[in-house]
Amino acid sequence: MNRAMARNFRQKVIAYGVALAGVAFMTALYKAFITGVNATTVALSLLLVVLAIASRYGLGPSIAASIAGMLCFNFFFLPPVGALTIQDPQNWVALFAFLVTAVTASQLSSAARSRASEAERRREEVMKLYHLSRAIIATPDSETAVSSIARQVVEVFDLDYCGVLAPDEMGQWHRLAVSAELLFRPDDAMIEHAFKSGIVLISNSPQDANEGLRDVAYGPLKMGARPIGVLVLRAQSLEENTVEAIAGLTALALERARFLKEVSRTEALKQSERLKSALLDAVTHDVRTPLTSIKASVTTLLNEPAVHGEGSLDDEGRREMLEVIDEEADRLNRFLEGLLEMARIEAGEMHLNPRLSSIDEIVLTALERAESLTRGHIVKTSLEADLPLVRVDARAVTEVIFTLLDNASKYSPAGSTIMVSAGLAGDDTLRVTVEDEGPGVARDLRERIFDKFFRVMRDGESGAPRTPPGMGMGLAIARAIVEAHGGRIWIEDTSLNRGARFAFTLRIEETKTV
Amino acid sequence: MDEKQRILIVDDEPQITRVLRRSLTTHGYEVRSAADGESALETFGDWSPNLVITDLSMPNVSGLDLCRKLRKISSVPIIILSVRGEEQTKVEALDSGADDYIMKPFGMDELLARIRATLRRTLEAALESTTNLIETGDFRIDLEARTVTVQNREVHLTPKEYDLLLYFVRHSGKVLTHRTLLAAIWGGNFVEQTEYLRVLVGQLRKKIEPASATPRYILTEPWIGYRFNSGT
Repeated sequence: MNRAMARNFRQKVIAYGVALAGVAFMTALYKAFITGVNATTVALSLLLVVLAIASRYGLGPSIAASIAGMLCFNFFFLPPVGALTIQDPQNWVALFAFLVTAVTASQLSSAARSRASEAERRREEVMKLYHLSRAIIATPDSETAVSSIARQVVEVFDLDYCGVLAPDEMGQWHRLAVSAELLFRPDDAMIEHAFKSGIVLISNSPQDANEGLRDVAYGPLKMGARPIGVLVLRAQSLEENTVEAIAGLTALALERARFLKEVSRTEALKQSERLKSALLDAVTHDVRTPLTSIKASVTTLLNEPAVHGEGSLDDEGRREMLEVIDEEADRLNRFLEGLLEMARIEAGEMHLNPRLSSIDEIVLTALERAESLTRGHIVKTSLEADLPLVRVDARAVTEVIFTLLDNASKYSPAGSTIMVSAGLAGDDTLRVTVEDEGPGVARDLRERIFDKFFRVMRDGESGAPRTPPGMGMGLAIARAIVEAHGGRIWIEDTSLNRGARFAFTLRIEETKTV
Repeated sequence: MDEKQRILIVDDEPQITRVLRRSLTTHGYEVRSAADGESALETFGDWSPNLVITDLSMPNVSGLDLCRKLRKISSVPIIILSVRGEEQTKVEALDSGADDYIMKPFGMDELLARIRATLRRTLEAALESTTNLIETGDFRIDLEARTVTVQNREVHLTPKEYDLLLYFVRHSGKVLTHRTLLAAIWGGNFVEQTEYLRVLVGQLRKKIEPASATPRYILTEPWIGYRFNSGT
């Protein structure tokens, strides 16, 4: 016998005990203390006891109280007192009236009581269904939506087990979600039957000797009239209505998950299409632009007339053409390197080679590399003295600063100042900033600007998209590098409230002071 | 001609303006450059160049906008440079008022030839207004008598054919889109009726071309329109 049944039994014993004690108490009260009252008063008082028992404990105990009350009334109060016989036929009527009243009152009040408790149970169930539907709607993505259904059902309805199963195209059954791994295995034939018939099946069979009887319900999951799966529930007792309601909600949740997945797939597809066309545009622009300069220079040199005269360059002009060819070839190469770097990062193959390095050296190397790009600007540096060494891949971090300098030079007018600073930000963080005096970056773009192939389109109204110099790859690579070092990169307001300030952090290691 | 022809180059790529400036200066042109449409308009106002060469994608005012804005204030010839080669973009640029379109990357000799052709056309147009007579290459058109001779052979044209030939001759060397021609000959309501144009061009070719299967004067620019070559 399990614990629940034991508790049930104990409650019954108490109910009957209280019923009999109530009658005994009322009888004793009139017999011992209040003498000289007439039989009618006693009978009505006993009826009160019966009513109280009926509304508190239900039909069984109140019938017991009615019979006990009748016996006591007869034995103690109807003449001849002290015997169960009745002299006056009138008193037969009284006794019979008492019994009928008591039993009827018992029935009515216990019916009312069970209706009330039924209503309470319904209310609870509706609340639970409501909670479940809330929980289903609150799941943000398709993955968790499916996997958490079973757990939510078990939690909300206090069940042993919940499983959601669906067949694939081949008719093979798969578990989409289970609440917990139990030894219990749903019956395949029942699943199939519920799926095909479309009705809720409840089997009541002993699954486990220790746990006694369990109801196992198989509820078909339907989308409209089309069956999409089966819900398996196990609990002490299950009702068809409840199972149907839960199955309805679960089907909705599955449908919602499918819908979410569809939406995110479409979104991803669109995104990748956009990326592809952005890549094509970028490649077109970034390969053709340096090629244009190179081709124009080369053809100018080739077309020079053999004899000196109209259309022949002077030495300075010839040198300039060659310089342009040289610089633009480098630019093409840089572009290709960027593409390769991006591809490596995409493939998760960023190989960092961290070594203890000095940030001063890194900044100076980057400035040197960017010299040809920042020629038209005033570049200032502010490096705090005695900055600690950082364990970073110096080449990669140089690339980050180079990218920021390149960016600053492109987006700020010639002759303006570009400021590079490095300093401590807290005990274990080094902060490097590159600040320009350009138009700055709108707040809503400050995150997106680090996305691959994102470029700020500066002329909003025109039909031809503005393609600023550069690939829209530099900042994406910079972010990947900084984050691979455990740092962060962002854009912030400058002190002057104009221009853009790019800042990134690097962690300083716990350096043992030697 | 003593005075140097003035060319304004508009491109935001400093390397390209650097090369063009050097190369065109060497070929006897006076050159100024602007990095975007806005400053190009400013320079145009101060300096009134004979030709504008502009990139399509630029900050602030794009190449297309620049064309439209220039057309409102001037008939200066415009050559577009662009990395974008789709027909759609070319047609849009030409419809916005550009005279010619060159794809990047280009050879310097090609650019120089287009510059010469474009500038010559403006000179001829200036000449025409004083003499009522157009003489270009193999063609001689008397505007008063409405007579046309090709290689000294007189040809008889219908009024529409005459209008079309005159338009071609006046825009010799320039790429003319279907829309532009339809609007010029039939008017703005007929810009979609490219079949009218095909028929008329076919008739005109029969009359003026020595071999209409391999035209020398009216050249087809696939998907875009036609270009007239007077035979110079």
